[in-house]
Amino acid sequence: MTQHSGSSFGAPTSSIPRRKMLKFSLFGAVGLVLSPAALTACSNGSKTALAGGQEAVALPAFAAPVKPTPTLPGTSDGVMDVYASFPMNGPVTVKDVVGDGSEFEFLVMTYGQPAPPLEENAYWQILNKELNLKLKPVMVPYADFPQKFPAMVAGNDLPDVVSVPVNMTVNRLPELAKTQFTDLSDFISGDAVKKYPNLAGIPPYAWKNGLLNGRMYGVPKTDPVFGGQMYTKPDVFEKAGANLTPKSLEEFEESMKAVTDPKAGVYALGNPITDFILQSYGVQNKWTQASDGTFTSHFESEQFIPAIEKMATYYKAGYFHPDTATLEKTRRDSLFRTSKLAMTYDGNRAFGIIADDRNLVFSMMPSFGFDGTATPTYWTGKGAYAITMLKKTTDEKKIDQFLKTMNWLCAPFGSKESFIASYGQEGTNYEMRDGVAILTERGQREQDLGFAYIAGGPQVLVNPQGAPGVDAAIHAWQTSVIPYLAEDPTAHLYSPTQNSKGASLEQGMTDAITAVFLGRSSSASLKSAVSTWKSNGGEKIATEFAEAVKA
Amino acid sequence: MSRSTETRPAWMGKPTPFASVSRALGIVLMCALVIFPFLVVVSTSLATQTEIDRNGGYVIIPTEISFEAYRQIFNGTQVTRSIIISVGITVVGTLFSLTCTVLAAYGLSRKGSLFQKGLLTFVLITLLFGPGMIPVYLMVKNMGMLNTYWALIIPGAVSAFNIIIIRGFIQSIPQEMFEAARIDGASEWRVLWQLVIPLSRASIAVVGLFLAVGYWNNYFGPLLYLTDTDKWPLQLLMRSFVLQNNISSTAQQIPGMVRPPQQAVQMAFVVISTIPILLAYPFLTKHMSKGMLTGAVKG
Repeated sequence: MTQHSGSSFGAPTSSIPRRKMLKFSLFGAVGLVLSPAALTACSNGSKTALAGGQEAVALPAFAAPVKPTPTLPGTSDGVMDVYASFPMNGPVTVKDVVGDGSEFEFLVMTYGQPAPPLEENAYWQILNKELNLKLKPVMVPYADFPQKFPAMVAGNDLPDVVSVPVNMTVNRLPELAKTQFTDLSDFISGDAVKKYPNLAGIPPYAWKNGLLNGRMYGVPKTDPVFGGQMYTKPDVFEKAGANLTPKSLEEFEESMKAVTDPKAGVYALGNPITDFILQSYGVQNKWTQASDGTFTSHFESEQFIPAIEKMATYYKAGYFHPDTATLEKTRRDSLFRTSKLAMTYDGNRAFGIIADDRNLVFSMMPSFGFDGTATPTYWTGKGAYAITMLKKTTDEKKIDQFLKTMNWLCAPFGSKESFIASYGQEGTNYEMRDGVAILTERGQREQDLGFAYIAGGPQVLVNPQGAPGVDAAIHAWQTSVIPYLAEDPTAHLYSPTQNSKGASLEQGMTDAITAVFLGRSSSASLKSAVSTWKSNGGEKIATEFAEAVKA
Repeated sequence: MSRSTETRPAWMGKPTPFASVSRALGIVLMCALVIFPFLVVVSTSLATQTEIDRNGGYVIIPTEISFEAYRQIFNGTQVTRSIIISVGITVVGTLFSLTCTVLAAYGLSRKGSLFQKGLLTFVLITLLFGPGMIPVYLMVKNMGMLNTYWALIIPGAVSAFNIIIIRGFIQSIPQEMFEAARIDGASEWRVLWQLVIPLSRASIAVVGLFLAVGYWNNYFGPLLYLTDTDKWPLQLLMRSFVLQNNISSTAQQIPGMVRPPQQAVQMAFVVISTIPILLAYPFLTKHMSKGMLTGAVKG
């Protein structure tokens, strides 16, 4: 899954590990993962001026949930709480019966194999029992979602509950929401959400993703604010005597040079680092909004071409693995694990994969300015992985049951509900070792149900099986980049051209960047690539974003 | 060297030792190019994660054999069930398609059949204009076939291309044989069953093989039409394994458990899904080559 919508070659990508999806999301509402802007705009349930042609309704009011004391506390601007393990015997947050025994069919995009059938799936059975519902997943593999979803829409075959990943391009989503899904505004906007206390624990920045046409249509699954990051292998750096925390591109290059040892098959990197370099130059997150309301793409920034040129010099110097152009993620991860790559640039979910490997010690490189004095940026994500919507209905009982189900699913970290959703049934899905619940192999397989992907509050870091100190290192890194957080001002705006042509336009730029990076074209070609991008739709996208803000 | 030898084309002459060696090397190289990827796939599926990591993602000959990936795949009933489903769809689909195709081809090959020309034109038009994904989806839905196996068989059961191939073969059967059968009192059905089908065995086998491979490899139909994951055939399940590599991201949390090698799981699935086709080919090779050569020497 692309964290940064593929705008540049090297944007971090990572398949979503279902385990981490479960852990991060279900280990609920703790660290108030709020960006300052989001807090200012929305924390009191104030009305927002988002796209849609009308004044937007108030976002659901935020009420911080009660949380267990973390080992390392997070902060209100995005640093995640760290826990040594999942607390046992947590409080019950949902006291009423959630469902009425009816079927709860939900469409979910998955990254895993389908879950075993109900009769063989203890996890599914316990969820059905706890919720008093008959959960029925309609699973669509992520690679096939763009084909399956339109067909289901055309055939009017969408199930009652539909979860749409926010980074997945769905044509005319606002219009689709208006015609196909239930407007939940009257039930969750502002203080109304307090009827569902766990939903009130979802931070406003995540709710923004559910705001379409100025109305609340979706319940989000909250994501950390962090986008891509530079993972490092301290053992490789230590062996080479290289600096793990460079303060400028010059020092960064020295480190790359030190760790690269072609004879031993060790290279600094195996994938392009466009976003990382652009951020060191202080380039804003994809788009910049001027005071007059106009938008400018980062492709048009002064630093764009110098940054790509700089990255190309690293490739030319031989710091990148020779197979970088074709190195797929699986192999790149293998090389990183075995210290054949000193660094890898990947999405925030990647630490979900590697943080649970006791044998893998890694750290993350803090942000730095290109010349040692400039202020870098750190690009944040959209704040949610997906939004989940209810098919159009006026039946308030049905809407209430949907929201109650979401409320159960969004139970905060440490609660009984989040424990059940994360671990299932003792004996079959998990077992206790030294006071820590450990999922069994069966437990892991059965959670492929996808139910936990559809909604959730803020995530926490809890990796009892990970290498000692890794969670603390992640926490320290998160703290270090907070001052540089840069939001994409268009993250929650809708542009029809971006929706229909955005992917191909981005691909054109990616190809141009790749050509320069690999030395196949001169950096001058980027100028014409940007011109082409603008004339083929980039300019129109900028105009549409500006109109969306005014609307 | 005699004059006749000098004028003899190169391929008719006795090969020189150099030419023989070169030819042998060429054949070995070609075989290696075909066999090597299979070897890597099988070897990687049997390798440990450590070895896969050490070799940068692929293994040619594993030093330690591990069946962990296969154990992971066959853990539970999903894969076994999906194999049975795939076999069922392939067998039923191939038989159904072959029946429809042969009947259509025979009818369209016989001059004087009712609406022969019109129907032939209609069939040929489908070669030029294929239906879009959503129209087919809507048709399947309106016929009540969503979430049924028929949705994987009926919409693609008859291919104009296959009809043309078999029709061409039937047309190449001498007219006198049809006339002789008629004089002997054979009905159309008998002519088809006892004359046309036995003589067209090679082309039917080739088309049958193409159809079987098509049904076996089909993942997109099941993706679109089957909402119930219990009904997923092997290829769709394999896609979820191969593309999503989810096993390693979960299993590594279990202390003491061998972390299932991500790459190995992918490769093991490829092996599992390839075996049935590999097993089917030897039985059809004879017909395949005959069918392929049919028409090659015709003027």
